[in-house]
Amino acid sequence: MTERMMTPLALSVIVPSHNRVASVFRLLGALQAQANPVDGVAADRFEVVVVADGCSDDTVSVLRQAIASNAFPFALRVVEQTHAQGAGIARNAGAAQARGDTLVFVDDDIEPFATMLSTHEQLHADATNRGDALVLVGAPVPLRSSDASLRHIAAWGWWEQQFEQMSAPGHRFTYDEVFTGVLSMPAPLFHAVGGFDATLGDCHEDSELGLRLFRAGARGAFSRAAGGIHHEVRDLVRLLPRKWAEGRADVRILRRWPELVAVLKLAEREPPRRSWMGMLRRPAFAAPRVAHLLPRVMLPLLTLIDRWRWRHSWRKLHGGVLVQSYWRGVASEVGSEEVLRDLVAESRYAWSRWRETTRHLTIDLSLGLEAAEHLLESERPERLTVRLDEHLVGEVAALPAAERLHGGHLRRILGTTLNHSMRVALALRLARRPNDTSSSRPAPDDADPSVVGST
Amino acid sequence: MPTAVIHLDATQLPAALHFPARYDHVFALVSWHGRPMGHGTLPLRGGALDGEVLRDGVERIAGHSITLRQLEEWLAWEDKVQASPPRATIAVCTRDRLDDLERCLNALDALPDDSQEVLVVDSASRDGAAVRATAERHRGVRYVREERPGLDIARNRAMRDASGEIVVFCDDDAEVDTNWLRAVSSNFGDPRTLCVTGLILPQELETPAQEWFENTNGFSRGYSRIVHDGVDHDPFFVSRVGAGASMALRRSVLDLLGPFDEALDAGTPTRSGGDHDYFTRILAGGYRIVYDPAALSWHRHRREWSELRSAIQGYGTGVWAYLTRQLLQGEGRALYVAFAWLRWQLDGLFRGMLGLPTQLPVALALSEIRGCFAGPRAYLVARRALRAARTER
Repeated sequence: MTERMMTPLALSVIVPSHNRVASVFRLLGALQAQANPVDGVAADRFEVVVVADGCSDDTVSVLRQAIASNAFPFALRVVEQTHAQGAGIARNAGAAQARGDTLVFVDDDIEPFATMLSTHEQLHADATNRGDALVLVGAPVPLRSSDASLRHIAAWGWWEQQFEQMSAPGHRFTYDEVFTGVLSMPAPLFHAVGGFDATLGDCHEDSELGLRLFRAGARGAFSRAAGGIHHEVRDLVRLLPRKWAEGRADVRILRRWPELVAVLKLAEREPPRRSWMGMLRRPAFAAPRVAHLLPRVMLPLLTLIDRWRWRHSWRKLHGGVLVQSYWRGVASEVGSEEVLRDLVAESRYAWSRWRETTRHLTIDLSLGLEAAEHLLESERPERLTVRLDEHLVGEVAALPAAERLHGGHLRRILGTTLNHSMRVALALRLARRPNDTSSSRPAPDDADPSVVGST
Repeated sequence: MPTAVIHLDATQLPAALHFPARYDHVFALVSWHGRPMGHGTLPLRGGALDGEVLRDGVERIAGHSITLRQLEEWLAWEDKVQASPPRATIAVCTRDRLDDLERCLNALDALPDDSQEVLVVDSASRDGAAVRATAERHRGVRYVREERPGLDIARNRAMRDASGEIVVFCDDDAEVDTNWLRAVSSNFGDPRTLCVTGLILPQELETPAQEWFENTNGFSRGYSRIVHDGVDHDPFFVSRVGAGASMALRRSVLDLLGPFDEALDAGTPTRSGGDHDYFTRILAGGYRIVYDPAALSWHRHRREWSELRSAIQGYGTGVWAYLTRQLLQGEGRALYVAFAWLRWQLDGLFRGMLGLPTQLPVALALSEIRGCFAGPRAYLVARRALRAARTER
């Protein structure tokens, strides 16, 4: 053990847990299987810190027994919090004890893929060599069981769509794409930004940390191989309190980061009162006790519609019940619609001031694409203007919720984000440039076309 | 008059083109660096297309798409997840069409070698020895015989016998482009994509029946790559997804969704619908189907009017047969889709009878509607026959 203490650690795996000892041991078993230097990470290059967050089961005693008997080849420690304080605070407690260069927060219901540790180690080492700091999100891949219900497919599909979006080449990460499950970052950066915000409880504390990491210049990254299987039971009964908590957390985040008014759902334009969304939102503020009853009525109806497989009606009703829970969460935090309106109005003013403080860069594509990418990479602005000679090609507005721009974003911006007309204009201008032969169309010559039919 | 079919590469336009006197139009596919960009019809003047008409025609057909493609090339930009392509088994299900099979295999011979396997599934041909001999004349082709007739039975056999991670189905009356397999394989980077379909264009338009087929039931689904995502896509909206004539499936789909329903498609009373049923099952399961026009193949439509009528009637039967199956599986929406489809057909029929412009001539519309009404019974009969055959075995 003393020898281990002397070895520099690449990774500290921090696992907050509350009364799920079997899950913790499943996780530790999966880490043990990759504790080798060949296709994993050598056991003396990482440690595991389990934070028992107010556990009333035998988590602490069983873990202490495992430590005493050296059951695992890696350094294992247990930090005990006598009262359950939530995952954010538990992670902070684990991070305070961690000794690794990189902190990898893994939830106890994750069963890591065999590639998890090596991917985190490799990607962070690459980033450090480039002089970069990475916020790496590993995929918490939900299990796709044989359950063919619309509810199960929707829950699984939501996650998969999220992963696909984050895997897209040149994707610009936003704060809400920083989620725990499996999340890693350099330890000094975590401490420099102050760790998880204890006031947010167990909801959006990960995204809020992501926002501060992005503001500090970190770069977002996503990897399926860096994740694991997510053994989560997610039904509507559990989802509704989650949505309620999201509503409450959004208000708290808006108070701290008013410029996020540009992206938060609670600041969207109020729907007409007689519309479907209006009818869901209004009672959450005006008659919270009545609104509280709505899901109870809707749950059996949703089950019935799911059985009949009326997809459209199910999606509309399911989405409505979730939105209504969200609004109840918002209402519980702000009290009334008037308070919310005032908060949003003040925040909009703060947003406009924030935009003025953001860093702006103009790049000219006549430099060449790679030179433009290098410039963007070295400057890391929040707003961007792209020109080609004297012509404006497009502008990227400051996004308060997103990571700073970097070189990897430029091709996506030019290839898909720019509006259609601007892309056509850019293509035509590139084609007219005298020294650019690659994009000019040739004149007819004597080449034969391929004649397909029996001409 | 018949229409000539040509494939023009806009990077290498010829000075002029001459055609036999029987043609007065050409159906031109325009591609850019091998990627299909658009198709259209160009008129012939004295049996020829001169340089100016060609240039104008290409600009009209695909000028806008080529402009945007040039930007993507300059950016070296592909908006899809990059991954090493999976190993493929190309499966050709065939029955008693030796000449077609020979042409199909010739085109497959010309594909670049990506260590793909070619599997010919002989669906109970009368002269199995001749099919075997045709298949084995081509290097590296594996022949398997399926004694029970039926396209879906042959497809299931191909899925079971294939060694590749993906199984790419190609009709025996189609010829694939040299980039077909690579284009198909490049779309499997995302694990939720279970199926990829491609662009299918007419190999020839020599007869009115072929022209009508192309205009009314053609397989082209446009020149943009489209991702159909079952999480938020109506699983019954499959006509835009593509066709079984050029369809690739991840082999793991068998474990996830089960085999094709053997009571559907050619060789059974239902006559078609096997591919659409499978597309619906993939989308209903929340998975993805990608249509990629870069995966190009050429299909020889039926030449005779009687064959066309029979094919259209078969499509009608297949659609309602597959909807019957879905209804029996608990998909209540299949009933709505069936009647919406019928209403659309009747609308076209009445417009045709009143002499208004319509998509399908009256005779073909009647055949399709007749086919629809036969669909539910055909499915039940086919299913009963299948069960009886299983009991006998």
